[in-house]
Amino acid sequence: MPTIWEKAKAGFHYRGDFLVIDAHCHLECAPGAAAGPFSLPRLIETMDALGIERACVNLAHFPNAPEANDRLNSYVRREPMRIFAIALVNPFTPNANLDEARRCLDELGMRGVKVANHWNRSALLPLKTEDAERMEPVFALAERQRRPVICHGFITPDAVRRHPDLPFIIAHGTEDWEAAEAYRPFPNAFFDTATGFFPRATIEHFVNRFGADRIVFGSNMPRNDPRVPLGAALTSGISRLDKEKILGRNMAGLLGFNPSK
Amino acid sequence: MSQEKVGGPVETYEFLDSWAQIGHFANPHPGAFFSVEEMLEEMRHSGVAEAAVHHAFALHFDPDEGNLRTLDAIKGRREFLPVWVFAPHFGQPPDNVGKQIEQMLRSGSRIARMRFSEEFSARGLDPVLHYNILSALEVHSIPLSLDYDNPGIPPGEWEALDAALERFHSLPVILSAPRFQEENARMFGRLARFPNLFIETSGLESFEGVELITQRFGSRRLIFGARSPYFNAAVAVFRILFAGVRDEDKKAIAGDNLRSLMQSVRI
Repeated sequence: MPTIWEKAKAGFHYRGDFLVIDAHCHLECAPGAAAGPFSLPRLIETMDALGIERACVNLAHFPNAPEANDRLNSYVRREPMRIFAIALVNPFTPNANLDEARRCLDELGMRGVKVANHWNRSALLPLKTEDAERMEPVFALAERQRRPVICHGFITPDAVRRHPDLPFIIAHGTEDWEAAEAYRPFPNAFFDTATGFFPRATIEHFVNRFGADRIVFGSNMPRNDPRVPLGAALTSGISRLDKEKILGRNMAGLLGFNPSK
Repeated sequence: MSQEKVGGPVETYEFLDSWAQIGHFANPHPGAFFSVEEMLEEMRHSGVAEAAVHHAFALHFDPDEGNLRTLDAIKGRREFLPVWVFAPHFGQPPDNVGKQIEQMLRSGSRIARMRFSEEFSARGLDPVLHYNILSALEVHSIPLSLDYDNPGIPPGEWEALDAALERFHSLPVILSAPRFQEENARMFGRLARFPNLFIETSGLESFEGVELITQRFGSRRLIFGARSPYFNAAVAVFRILFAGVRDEDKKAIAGDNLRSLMQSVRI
């Protein structure tokens, strides 16, 4: 039986072979995005072309979290079968983020929380301790509801340790092999592939070090091209089951999404 | 098996990797490899038919000895084309360029490469060090791969590139970096201004970068590169196979563009 990569090399699409869920993409503007503002129809068109069934969307580059979440909610209403909303919270706004997280999860039914820790640091550095502590009530809320928290880059390992039932998705996490090691003891720490930077055998390395259960496909559209992380997963030397987990099954589990229903 | 076709089989595109490296280098990541045999295996797995290779010794240490190592390593291997490295910023004497070009052409090499990096403070083009080489390459229409390992183009270097592209306007320059991300707007502006500028694809990580450049400037401005063994060649091939461009554009990007540039070399 040919592998997916052998089929692709023979000229066939992989669509339908795997459930593909994008754990991490954006709409509208993103700094550095060559294609300019990214519309909902364009996202759906791209998903269709590449066989991505669902996408977790956050408006992380929006300057104001409540307004971003309202706009995101309007997008979900337009494409409820294709996108999952991930609420944006601002770790640098004292007291406001818990109310906003509660509104998004309880009233708007959003599927997870994105901590916009890139708002004062562009690198994949962890939140400063005081900022992470400010997020504690949000983490506790998400943990109670078993909703994943997506952090731009690396959250403090202490926060991950304090909330063992809260899935933390370290956005762009496969980009930094060394920093990821600090999260090895914590099975609730996941890494997404939302980057265009894939040193050779990145997927194999993360599967070997952390297990395929802890890696989720993310594209970072419209900054990065989804073909790169898709290609990294589909062409890698891991088992078909591990590819299924990375491309969709893991994220379906974290979102409580049953694709057969 | 899903029968939906996205294009021809990979062989129809005749992928020619413009950026491949053999030999040992410092600080290899765990997925790296070094030998010609491993490179051939990588090419077989990814569907790359040919690769333009340099030896790491040439790019990172001593171009004169390294270029000879390149030739020695690929001798008798028709899958490989030698890339000739120039590095006056490493102390290579700049006054014997003619002899170097003669040696390069005699060896069958039809593509030159210079690498700039923060290592050794060799961050970019310097008219005093590099212009005599660029001039000699232009005389022969030898495509020059300018490789920036920073990971992008450093601040200020775009102006140096502008000056060089304008002065050596018939020299094909292939721009290469491990990551093109924030550079898009600057890069697009240069593609519009300089028809002799080409982009190597391995670092083109931005959303639909291949599609945008094809739409705006034509697929002839893109040169396929895998950056093996730093990156995964199969991912680079996948990126082109599933690109949202026409089949003939895929073929041009995959290899025809570079072959055409190399065939235009005046000996």
